[in-house]
Amino acid sequence: MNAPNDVPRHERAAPAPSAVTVRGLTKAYGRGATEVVAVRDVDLTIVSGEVVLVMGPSGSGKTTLLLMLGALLRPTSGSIVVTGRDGTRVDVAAEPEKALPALRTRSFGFIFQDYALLDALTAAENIAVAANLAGTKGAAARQRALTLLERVGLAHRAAARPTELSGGEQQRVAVARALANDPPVLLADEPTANLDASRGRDLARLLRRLADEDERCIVIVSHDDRLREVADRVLWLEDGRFKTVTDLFIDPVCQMPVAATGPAFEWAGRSLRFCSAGCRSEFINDPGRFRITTGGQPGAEITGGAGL
Amino acid sequence: MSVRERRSTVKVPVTRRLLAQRPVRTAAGALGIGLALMLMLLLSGLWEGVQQRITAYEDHLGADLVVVPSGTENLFADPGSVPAQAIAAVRRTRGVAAADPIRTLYLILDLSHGKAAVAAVASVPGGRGGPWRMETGRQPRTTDEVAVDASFADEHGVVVGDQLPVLGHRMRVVGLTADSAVFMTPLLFTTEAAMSQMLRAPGSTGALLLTLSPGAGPDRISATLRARGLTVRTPAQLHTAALDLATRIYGSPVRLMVAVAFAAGTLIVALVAHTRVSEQQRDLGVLKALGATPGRLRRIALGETASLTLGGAGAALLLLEVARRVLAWSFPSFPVVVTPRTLVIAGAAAAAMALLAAWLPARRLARLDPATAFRSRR
Ligand SMILES: Nc1ncnc2c1ncn2[C@@H]1O[C@H](COP(=O)(O)OP(=O)(O)OP(=O)(O)O)[C@@H](O)[C@H]1O
Ligand SMILES: [Mg+2]
Repeated sequence: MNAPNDVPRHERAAPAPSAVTVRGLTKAYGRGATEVVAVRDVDLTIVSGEVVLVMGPSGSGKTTLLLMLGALLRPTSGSIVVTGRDGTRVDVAAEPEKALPALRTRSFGFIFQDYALLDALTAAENIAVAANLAGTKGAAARQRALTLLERVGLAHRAAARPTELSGGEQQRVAVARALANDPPVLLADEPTANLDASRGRDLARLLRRLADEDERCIVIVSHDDRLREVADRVLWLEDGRFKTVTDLFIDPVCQMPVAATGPAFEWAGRSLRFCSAGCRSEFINDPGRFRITTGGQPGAEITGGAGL
Repeated sequence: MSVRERRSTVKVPVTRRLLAQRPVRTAAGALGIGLALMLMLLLSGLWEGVQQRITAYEDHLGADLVVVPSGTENLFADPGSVPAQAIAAVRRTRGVAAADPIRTLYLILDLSHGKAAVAAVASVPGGRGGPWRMETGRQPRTTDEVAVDASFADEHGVVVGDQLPVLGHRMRVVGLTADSAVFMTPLLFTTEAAMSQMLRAPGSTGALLLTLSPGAGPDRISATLRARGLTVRTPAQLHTAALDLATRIYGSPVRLMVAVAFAAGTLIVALVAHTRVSEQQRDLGVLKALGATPGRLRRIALGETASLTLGGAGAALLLLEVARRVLAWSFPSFPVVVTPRTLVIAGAAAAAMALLAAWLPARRLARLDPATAFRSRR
């Protein structure tokens, strides 16, 4: 593992090398009349050690973007250049199908909303199996699993099955599994969606630490506002494109972030925004039921730009 | 390879863990496969047993050559007679040491509780063609004596000393013969003299069992006899003819049943393999997302199917033994004979089933979208 990071990132002398460079990334599902363009001509540069949070309304293409970044979905056009720890550069979008499995094990760690652990395997085996896929076998794989479990604070649960673990513990095993082959990029889709507030915050901090300590870049797709505190950048994806929004509101009904694009809804001296007409009418019917977290107070500036 | 080296190449046994995850389902799958395989083995075993019993008499003739009525292929199915002059001609032939007359025909016995079919054999006491193994009593010697197959006797409650009506004559049972339960028609032995009397055909006979002098070539003697207008068969030819007849009658239904059992077995294995792959689609999708190659996933799925089929084969052998014992006890005339050949064929069938059945799910695995790992929700 790399040296611990006692110098804050922004104070480092040399600029961090870029880990992922995306250019003109587009994905269209289907063809002709049924065509859905989920991601349109997206540019994005992520440096190592950076945590990028991608937010946006449902169906805006966040998962699609993440799948393409992780070589799980082939883009319709564009390039995704990933720089490995050894400096090798690979255009994920141009790699032949046969090369993808090895690329996935080497370059990416995946963290899923529903943890996606294999119930048939123990916590340690779930991690070891990922190491196996990259060619680390036997005692080495087992040792790697135990080291990583210790890192996420679960060494004592190595022999437990996922069904015997709490949601937060399962997600930490999943994080350890994502680290099995020490990939330069971690990709997480709604990693806190199934966790309560405090577990969600713990996971967010864990991800932050992993980015800092190992010079790893992490892309998180989430509706979860709590993740903003650990993100270096928050990107807003809407209709498959990054948008620059100055204000971010939280829908008081569904607690989803909403960009300040359309007109605001004024209520009791505050400006509210809703993700949909449904949420708005639900609010109007019984405003007392909902807690207003933000409203009219500008959040951190959210950029949709490509580079830094 | 040293233990240490081997340990360092050991992977997490995903296939074994997946199998162990739901032991009841795994066992049920293996049992289903086992039942289908057992059915195949049982049917072929029954058929094998039938074939062995069908030729029991032909296999115990003990003759070098058999002179039969002209046109006769099958001793029991085509009864005719060899006339007295022919008998004399055969006996005069050089190289023929003995020519024992026999008569063979199917008979229906009118027993007190119903009718029963037997294959009757009449031979000369002390000559060839008589009973080859006695269970109790002795061979018939006089014209009012018979010996019957022991399992037939058991089934119909016949014991030594009983009277049996044969062609309208009362005959006394003097012995029970072993190893003579020819399929469907057990053997009944009597004397050639008795049968000739009952058929009112003295002088002629049904067939002649020839014993050749030492050094006499069967081919040459066969040619000599043929030249005199006689029909000559070898015991092997009679064996084949009996078998062919049985195959013509029972062969296609048995083959059909075995084929149906094979198809059912393949379907069961396919269903089990398909269900497992469907159940594990999410797990396999996750592995694919983590970087498992399509080959690795196929090996996992095939490994599971192979293990289930192997388990099924074990279950089949156990079930077969049970079925065999039950059959031997309740239907002694239906022996189940499992030869090494049957086992090899069943093993090949099981492997073929597994391969056929695993093919479709394996194809599905190759197309499995790793993105589903991100989308599927518990
Ligand atoms: N396999 C597919 N075939 C066709 N259309 C698809 C497919 N997957 C996604 N889409 C469409 O692409 C668009 C973007 O989907 P995506 O899953 O990326 O959205 P998302 O931002 O992750 O949404 P959510 O926040 O609800 O998870 C949606 O309109 C969706 O209907
Ligand atoms: Mg999504």
